Amino acid sequence: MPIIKTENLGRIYQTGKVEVVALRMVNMSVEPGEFLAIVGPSGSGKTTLLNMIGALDSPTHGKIFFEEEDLTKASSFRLAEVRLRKIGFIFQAYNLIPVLTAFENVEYVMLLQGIPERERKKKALEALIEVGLKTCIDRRPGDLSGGQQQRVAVARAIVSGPKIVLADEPTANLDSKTGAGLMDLLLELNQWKGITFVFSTHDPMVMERAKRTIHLRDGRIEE
Amino acid sequence: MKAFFKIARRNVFRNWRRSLLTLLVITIGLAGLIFTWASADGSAEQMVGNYTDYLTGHVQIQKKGFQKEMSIFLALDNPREIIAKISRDPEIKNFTERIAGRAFISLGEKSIGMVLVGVDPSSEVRVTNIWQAMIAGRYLEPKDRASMVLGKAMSIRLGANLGDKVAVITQAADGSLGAASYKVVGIYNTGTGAFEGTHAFITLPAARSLFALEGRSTAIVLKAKNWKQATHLKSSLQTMFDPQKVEVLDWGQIIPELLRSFKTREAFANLVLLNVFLIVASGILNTILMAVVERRREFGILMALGTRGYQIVTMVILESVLLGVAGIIGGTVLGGAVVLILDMTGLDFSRYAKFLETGTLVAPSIIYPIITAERLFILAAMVLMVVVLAAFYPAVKAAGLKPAPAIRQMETI
Repeated sequence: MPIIKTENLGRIYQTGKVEVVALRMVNMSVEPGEFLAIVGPSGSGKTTLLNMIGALDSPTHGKIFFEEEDLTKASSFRLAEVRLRKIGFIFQAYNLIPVLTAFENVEYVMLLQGIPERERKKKALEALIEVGLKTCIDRRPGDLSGGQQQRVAVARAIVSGPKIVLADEPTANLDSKTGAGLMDLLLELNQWKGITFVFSTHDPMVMERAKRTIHLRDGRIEE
Repeated sequence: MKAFFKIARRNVFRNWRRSLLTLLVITIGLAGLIFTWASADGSAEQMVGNYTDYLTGHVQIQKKGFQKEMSIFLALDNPREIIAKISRDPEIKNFTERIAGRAFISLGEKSIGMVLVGVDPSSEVRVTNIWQAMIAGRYLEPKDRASMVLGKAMSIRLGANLGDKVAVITQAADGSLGAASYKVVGIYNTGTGAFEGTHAFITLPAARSLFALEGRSTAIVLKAKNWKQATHLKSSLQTMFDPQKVEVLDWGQIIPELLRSFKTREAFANLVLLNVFLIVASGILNTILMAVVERRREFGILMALGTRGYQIVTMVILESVLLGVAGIIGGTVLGGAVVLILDMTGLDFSRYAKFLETGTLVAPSIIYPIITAERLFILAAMVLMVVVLAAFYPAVKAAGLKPAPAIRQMETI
């Protein structure tokens, strides 16, 4: 059973009187354990597609199934539940909560899930160690480097064992060495822990590491 | 909840400039409200106090019909019995007996109509404070039998000075013509020309003799512990007496024009207060709304992580409540301090004194604001309610955002 399946997915943005078609008739699926890259030039619809399958935005037409559940019919409360329990996110701009420390950022999702404090603290620490952050865990995002922030974001995304982790251009704001290190870490997590990853990227280094790629151009999948 | 409280608290400190602005709006707004209400209350209390303290007291017990007729034939027959009944009422601070009647006063060839009031100086000073308004000579003393105190305006009209002997003629209660002469021992000035020009005071024994009212009086004048409870005191006292014989009146019935003026001023003050409140509320709403709109990206991130709409609402409201409580503390301290200082120095409106006088009434030219704990609590609760409501609308809008457009700041609240 695929984790995600889309059917004729489309998204049109309305900017004033101008309509921008960001996605057209996208049909794709993601199987458990995949390490999949959605690639394409800027404006090809990568982020839009990732947002759709991550229940962060709703399509203007078509359907998205998450483990056979039709997300286009789900309430905003249910979508929040799906994001909380089943999806981990890694954003290009890290998007950590600025007022929380690295440790608290990782802990936050588990707090929403209602995990008891002791277990929460143990798991948060393990996740941070797993991404190579033993120190600086009491620092706030503003006091961390870009690479460190993205590692915190990875720890936050994987800490509660999601079905899938979606990463929107995760290396775009990092230098090549840090970016490569991050991708190796994600690959390791995929190989050893079986976490399913879907990336959007136009970075060849990321594409090289992907086990499968989907090419997008002008909102369509290129065969 | 603990975690949301932590985030809210840290957010307040993170955006300290914005928080400071919101805090200032709430603090200054609440201080303004406190000042406005305290000034209105102070002004009203002084206006009522000016009259009740100089002449009427808060409540009077009279024979039925006296208030309307002011006839010497409608004097109380048994004032001592009445005093014995009321003297233990816990709401009464002090009381005194009086005789008031119409009379003619003359000096030389000048003669004018007036209200002659016979007072018991030893108890009168605990009920009214004309004795504090003496500008020449002295107030009456219990032993005085042929002494008179008159108002500045009357002394000018009569051309009377201290030591002059004035003649008084009136209708006595036994049907005879009462006549006596009194030496002017004091002149008072209350600042209200109409009152000063018509009221002169002699001692109660002298008045009893003049009006042939031995052992009787026309009114028992009461000072309540709290002037605002005058109507309540009146009602409770009235139950002790036969309403067909004895009438208990509060200051609003004794001087209806004062009550009308008081009510008008109260309505006007409430209108001003409402306007100030609306200005303050819109200021708070605007600041909090802007603060929430600015942060839609942050809310998008929180929602992407699975934070539910109601949790976003909780977080925003908690943040506003934190600022609100701090602002309320600040506003109460600032407003309280301003009221406290002005309570000592007074707020001088004397340059507008001429415009403040309406008929026989005069509004105080120096206002001493007063505030009670009850008023402070009401204002604090109202401001907190505005803060919560102001935060509620943008919070609900924020909670309704779609995470992706919010993160990319493509969607507005």
